[in-house]
Amino acid sequence: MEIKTKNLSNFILKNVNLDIKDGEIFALLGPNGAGKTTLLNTISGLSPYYGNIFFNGSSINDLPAEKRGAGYLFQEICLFPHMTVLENTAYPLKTKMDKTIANEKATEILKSMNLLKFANLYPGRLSGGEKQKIAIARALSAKPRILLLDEPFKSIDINTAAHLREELKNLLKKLKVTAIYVTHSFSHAEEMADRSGILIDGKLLHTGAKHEMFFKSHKNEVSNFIGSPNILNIDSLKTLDSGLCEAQCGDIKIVLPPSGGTMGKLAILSKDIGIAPRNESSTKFNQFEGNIIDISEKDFHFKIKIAAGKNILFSEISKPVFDNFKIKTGNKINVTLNLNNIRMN
Amino acid sequence: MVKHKLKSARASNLNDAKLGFIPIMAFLIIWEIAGRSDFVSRGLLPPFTEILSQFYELVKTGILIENLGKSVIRVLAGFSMGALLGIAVGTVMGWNKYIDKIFSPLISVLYPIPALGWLPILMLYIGIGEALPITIIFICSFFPVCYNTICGIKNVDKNYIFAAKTMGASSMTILKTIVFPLALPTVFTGLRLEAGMAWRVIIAAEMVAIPTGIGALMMKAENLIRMDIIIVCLLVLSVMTFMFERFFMKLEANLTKWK
Repeated sequence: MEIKTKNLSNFILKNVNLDIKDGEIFALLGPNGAGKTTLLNTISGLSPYYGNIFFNGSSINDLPAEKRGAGYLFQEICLFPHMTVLENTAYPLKTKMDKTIANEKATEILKSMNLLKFANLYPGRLSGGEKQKIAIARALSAKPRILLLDEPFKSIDINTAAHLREELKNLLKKLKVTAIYVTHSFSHAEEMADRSGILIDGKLLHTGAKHEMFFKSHKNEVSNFIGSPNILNIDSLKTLDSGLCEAQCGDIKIVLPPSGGTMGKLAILSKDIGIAPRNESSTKFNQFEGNIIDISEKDFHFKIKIAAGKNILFSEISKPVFDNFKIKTGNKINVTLNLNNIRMN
Repeated sequence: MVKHKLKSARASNLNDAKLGFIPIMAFLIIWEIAGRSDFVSRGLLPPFTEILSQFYELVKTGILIENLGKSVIRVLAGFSMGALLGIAVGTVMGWNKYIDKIFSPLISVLYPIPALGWLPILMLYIGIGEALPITIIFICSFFPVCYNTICGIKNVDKNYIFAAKTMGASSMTILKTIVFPLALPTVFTGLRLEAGMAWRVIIAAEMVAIPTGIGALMMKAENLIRMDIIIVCLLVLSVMTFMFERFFMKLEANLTKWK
């Protein structure tokens, strides 16, 4: 299902134009109050709007929410507490078919997702992760035309959420369901989505491939939201015996995960560059010496400008960390880059 | 392990019941001793055993059954009509904001009037007959049940409604399958409270205006200074109120197993 919005506006959204391809998972990022949930509500038909929404090229403006065929996973786990897991899963099916067939189909779905053991339990007896897994099964049971996911794993512990994200992505790809995934987290967006967009103050200010936002120059509000990444040009790249890659970026060498294609640039968010007072020369990879050349404070955070050879990097640390390190301009420090937080392009 | 836990839970419940029985027994023993002592006149405080024998006498002669039967029929008729209409009107008002806006002021004006406050008007309009206590009980049940139902329907989390909508459910299906079942606990709170209240109101109405029923029997006993009959009536009233409330508690437990 292709989704297209044209000049979509309401009390929060301002002329949102969005194209999502069939079977694509699109991550929608943005600060609190940007209008992400409103955009999902608008597409699903729960919020009024001006402008146009098209599913596969046909306008759905006149269709009420119950006829749009959009599955929706809310921030709060919305399993109906008075229905068993089976009744919950069969609910969207019962609106379309006979009750007995709906129950049979729901049983099949629960079985395929290894959830049949919960069929006769009420949601109140399940853990947060189990509940959300059942909510996913319910949302997918009626084969929705699109799936809208509004930070669905916000209330679940980190490990379970990571597992559920992976499972959900596999399911969406297997069933070829077009989805919009709202999140605050860049890493979750990169993990889940094929493309992503940034919505700020009701305006869609960026759309592109998942890492693209880190390598583009943006308007002020977008760069404030992303956090002005450090961009490093790769001069040369070689594969190490371990299978990892080593990129030469000016005077520093950075070890990267194995990469199939060619790379030209690296992006590292300033909050992902760790610093520590230099005690001795380090032998760890992705750790090197730097000199502090400037320190500025903004909103209880300190921005540290570091010279590492000819490279200039920016690191962002919180006030307690800064106070603890007692660093000053001119100090030598150890700079550490986390392998998982380096974006490649 | 599970069986063991169930057994110990049952044993604990039994112990709780036994614990609750002790003060009742103590009260009855003190009552019996006080009734048989010379400190209080027997006419004012007959011993508990005399109350039991008077209860047996009233049952044997059919006086208690006849009067209790009349009161039960009045309560059942008035309460079931008031509660059913209260649930129906409350559901419509809670679900449809326009109907709510139209009728809400009327309900707000009539709801605070005590049910017995209607008695003089109703005596003039419908006279002293079977319709009078039934109407009083109807009024006593309708407003609180209606009010609780409105609150229950309105307080259902909107996300459940949105979720059901995106799953293709029509407005009527959402009301039937999501909103009403989720409002049931609040509806039952109203029903339980009013089940007890209906008995208090019927006794008052029968004492004041109706010549038959448990309330009227108490008034006749008062005229004859028969404290034993009054106490029998009060105990019967207590048991009936308790049974009515327990019935709704059981019904609620059955209909809201998910809680």
